[in-house]
Amino acid sequence: MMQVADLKVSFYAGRKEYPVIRSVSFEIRQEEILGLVGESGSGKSMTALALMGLLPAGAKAGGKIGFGGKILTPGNESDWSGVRGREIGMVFQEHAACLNPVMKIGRQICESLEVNGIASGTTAIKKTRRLLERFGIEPSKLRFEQYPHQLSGGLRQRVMLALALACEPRLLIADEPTTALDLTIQAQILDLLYETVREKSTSLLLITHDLGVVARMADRVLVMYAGKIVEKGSVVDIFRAPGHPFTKLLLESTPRLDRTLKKGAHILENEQVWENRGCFFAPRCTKRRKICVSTVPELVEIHKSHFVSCFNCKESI
Amino acid sequence: MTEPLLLTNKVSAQYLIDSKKIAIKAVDGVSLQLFSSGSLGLVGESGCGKTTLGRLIAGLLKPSDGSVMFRGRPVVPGQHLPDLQMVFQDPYSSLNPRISIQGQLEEGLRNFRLGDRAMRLQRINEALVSVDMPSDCLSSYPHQLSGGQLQRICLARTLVLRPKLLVLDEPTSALDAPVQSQLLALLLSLIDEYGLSYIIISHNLAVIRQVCDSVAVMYLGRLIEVGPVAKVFNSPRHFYTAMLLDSYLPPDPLLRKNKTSVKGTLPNPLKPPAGCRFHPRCSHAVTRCRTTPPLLREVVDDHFCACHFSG
Repeated sequence: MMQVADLKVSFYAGRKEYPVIRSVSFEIRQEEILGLVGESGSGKSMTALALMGLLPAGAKAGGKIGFGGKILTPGNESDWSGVRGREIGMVFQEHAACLNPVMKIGRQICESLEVNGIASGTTAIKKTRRLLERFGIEPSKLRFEQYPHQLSGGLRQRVMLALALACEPRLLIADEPTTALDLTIQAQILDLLYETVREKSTSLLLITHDLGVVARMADRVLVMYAGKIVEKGSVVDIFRAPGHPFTKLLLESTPRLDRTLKKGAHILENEQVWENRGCFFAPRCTKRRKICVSTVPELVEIHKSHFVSCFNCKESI
Repeated sequence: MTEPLLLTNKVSAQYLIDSKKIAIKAVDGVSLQLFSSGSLGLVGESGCGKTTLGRLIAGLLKPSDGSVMFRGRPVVPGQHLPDLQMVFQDPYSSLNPRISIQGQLEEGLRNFRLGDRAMRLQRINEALVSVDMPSDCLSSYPHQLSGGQLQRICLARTLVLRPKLLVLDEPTSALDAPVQSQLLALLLSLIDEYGLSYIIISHNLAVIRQVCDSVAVMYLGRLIEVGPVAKVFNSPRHFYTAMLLDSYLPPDPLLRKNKTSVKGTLPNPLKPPAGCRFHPRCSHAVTRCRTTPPLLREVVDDHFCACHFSG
């Protein structure tokens, strides 16, 4: 469905290169929900922007993205025309910033349908009404005429979903879609998102730092650390048999209702290590060995379709 | 019987909007008590008044009705107390970007005219050790530290004053999970080290479960359930608490819930529903719920609930 090969993104300060994504390869399969997790600064959001062809100015990109028979080159934005918004939809965390504040929400959805040649005139209006109802933005007649500021955060995020899925894209990229919302609203939005992508056979790339959200939604999971994928596998493998020490750290440190905090656990903070010849996680790792600081670990299959890049893990098989 | 460290007596706060013509009661007659070395979690959806209650307790807001008593004395806004301190959600905006870390830590001691220079430095160094920060960070400025480090500085800034009660408003929601759990572990160790009590305001139920021994659930300005955290979370008596707990997503795909029982949103606080304020979202509501507001009463030992069905 989508093949990402050797994706790299760097920024430059003067002549110095600061890589934010260092050679990432993965695929998004037909009708699957793929979770992408990591800490802030790990390159999750930059990956989303690269897949959308929306990298910020000044970013230098490399690699190739294969999508539905086309080759999209990161950094070459024109490759995405006719794809972005039409075949790849997107939802961001900042629902307030993503809606036009001076345009009625119904109009914004109509515009998307018209621009992408799905419907026009009264057909577009009727279709928009149906979308508003489908996404629980009711009463649809009233909501159609309202501006974003007249809606609550939860409703605005529903509008964002309706807008992203209006053209029935084959792939939806959602970057922290429920992070700013209350738990009660989050639960309702995730239900809606899950039902819709399953019903329409849409693939979903779900980016989040919240392991609870990933466990609720994903079929497969990618774990990112310092711009690299350090582990990938099925959601059950990642949560029940994590291989990489960073994945284990994330799981252990996520507060849970059914387990109390381990006292005295000393956890080093996320230090931005720009130059390192070995494993980027080595400075925080409790099982660090000589090889970890000298050689870069490869992503290896430790179990069927479960990949980990850690020297300690490789030995254990 | 020992005197509670903190006692709020039917405290209320209102905000005036629309040219002061309309009043929104953000906190409506809340009575709570906290004993020494206690830790209380305050949970609820955004807009339920939990932050306003925290500000009332910390003396940052004047109650429109009722009172807040701390160590037997009323808390008066404007008269700040060194032993009652607050930590805010965003460490970046609560520190002055132009003052060094040492300056930030010393400011409180100077404002309260506590100690001489040597004693202030000693307190600062002790506080840094308590929050697990190296002493060479003293000459740094906020932009040179990470979010987790800044939040620990914010905590150290209150510890130099030897507080008896800390009010922490969403202290970890801006932090990544590993940094969050480190800060929470730190907080637990401070209870013994400083004889500290704290109130944590959070929407994250799991955080409250980890570090609090009692919990108060708020809905639209009122307390609807209060009790020991294990009792409230394992056998909630209020349907709203049960709904909140159902919205929690366990980080385990084998415990996946495919359909939530959660419905609706917080109603408009300008027109709070009559009777039980939760009745429009409650699937068990009967006529009595629509007309008579339930009172907060003790259902079992130390476990209070405001629901007609909780008895």
